[in-house]
Amino acid sequence: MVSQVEVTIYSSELCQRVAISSQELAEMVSHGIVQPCDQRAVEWQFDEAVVTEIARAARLRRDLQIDWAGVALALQLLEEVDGLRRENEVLRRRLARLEE
Amino acid sequence: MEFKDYYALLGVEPDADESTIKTAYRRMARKFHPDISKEDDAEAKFKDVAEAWQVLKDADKRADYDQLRLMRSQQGGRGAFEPPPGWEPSGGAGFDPADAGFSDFFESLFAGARQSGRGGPSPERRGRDVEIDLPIFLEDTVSVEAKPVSYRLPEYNEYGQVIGETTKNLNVKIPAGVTGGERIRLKGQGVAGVGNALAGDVYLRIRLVPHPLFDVEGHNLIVTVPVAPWEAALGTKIEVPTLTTPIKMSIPAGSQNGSKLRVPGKGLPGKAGHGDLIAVLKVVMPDAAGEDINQLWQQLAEKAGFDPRAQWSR
Repeated sequence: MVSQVEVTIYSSELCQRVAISSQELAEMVSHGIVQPCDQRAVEWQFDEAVVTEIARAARLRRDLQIDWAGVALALQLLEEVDGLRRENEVLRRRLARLEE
Repeated sequence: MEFKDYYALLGVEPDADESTIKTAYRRMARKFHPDISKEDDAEAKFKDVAEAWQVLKDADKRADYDQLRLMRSQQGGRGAFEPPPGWEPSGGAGFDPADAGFSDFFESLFAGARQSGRGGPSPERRGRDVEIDLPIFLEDTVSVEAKPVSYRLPEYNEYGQVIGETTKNLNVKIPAGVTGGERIRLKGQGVAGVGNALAGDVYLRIRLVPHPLFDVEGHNLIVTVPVAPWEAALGTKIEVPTLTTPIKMSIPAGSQNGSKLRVPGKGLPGKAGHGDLIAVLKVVMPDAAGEDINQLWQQLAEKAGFDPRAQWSR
């Protein structure tokens, strides 16, 4: 993520922005999907960068009716697949150079 | 309007039982979910599948649909579809936000009691975020020019219904050191909020367009340098392109195919200085030549006494 300035967001604003309940956010944290800056704080704050990830987790749960453990696993695997795809693309192009 | 074949969309037979349809829906939903699928029209396909399920999972709606299907096949089964006059959907109706974005076919036949304005205006709601794929050339990362970006946003009325589309144009200065896959957030440039709510954001997903000469590895640029066999053997001085001005490079004598030569600071700009340019040598053969050239090759072969496949016979 490109962020010149470290921006954080409070959990109440986060829940409103992504349209989830604080309970759902608590589930995400307990499954390790996202991490608050300080878990012991009275009101959690999160790095601005995680907003998209949280939105994605909420969408997967709602659209595919998966439980939170499943969502956590799905996100982990999706990230891995993304990384592999990028690596694949790089290697493919390098290979093509040798065969040009 | 277009007639939607819900059974075909889910890949089931029209007489499939409920559990078969449910399984098919679940499989399709996983396959086409936009967060999972990489296909261009994943979102549209996902909506189609969700719409089909909305109708087929409800016994009353499914019965209605089967009737419409029968009528359609009696009319020849082709061309635009017109709902029968006085058509009233049976079964549960009323506004279900999950139905938003379904086809005209669904809207006119199955959406039931939802009408514009019923239930009052939508409560204040923050605008949706938009993710845009932004292809950039490697040259853009070293240039100071802003890049024009154009995208379309849906427009909503106060009831939360889509009433049109606007095109937005922005000029975006690509920050130095940006890499492929990175996302740049443009606050408040997304879909307008309903009521007094804030607009959503735009996320530009950077995608580096493949360059004809260079490959990218982190902040390093990799250039494949073709050299003649004698150049690799004897060494030479060549001019190598960079993203800006070409540089002069010495190829050492006795170089191998695949050798790497690093030129510090001539790669992509990064947040902490520049990456490097890495030249990878690729020894290429000249095209087949005449007899006199081949004689020279033959001499070389005899004098060099080189077996490239020595390690095979062990």
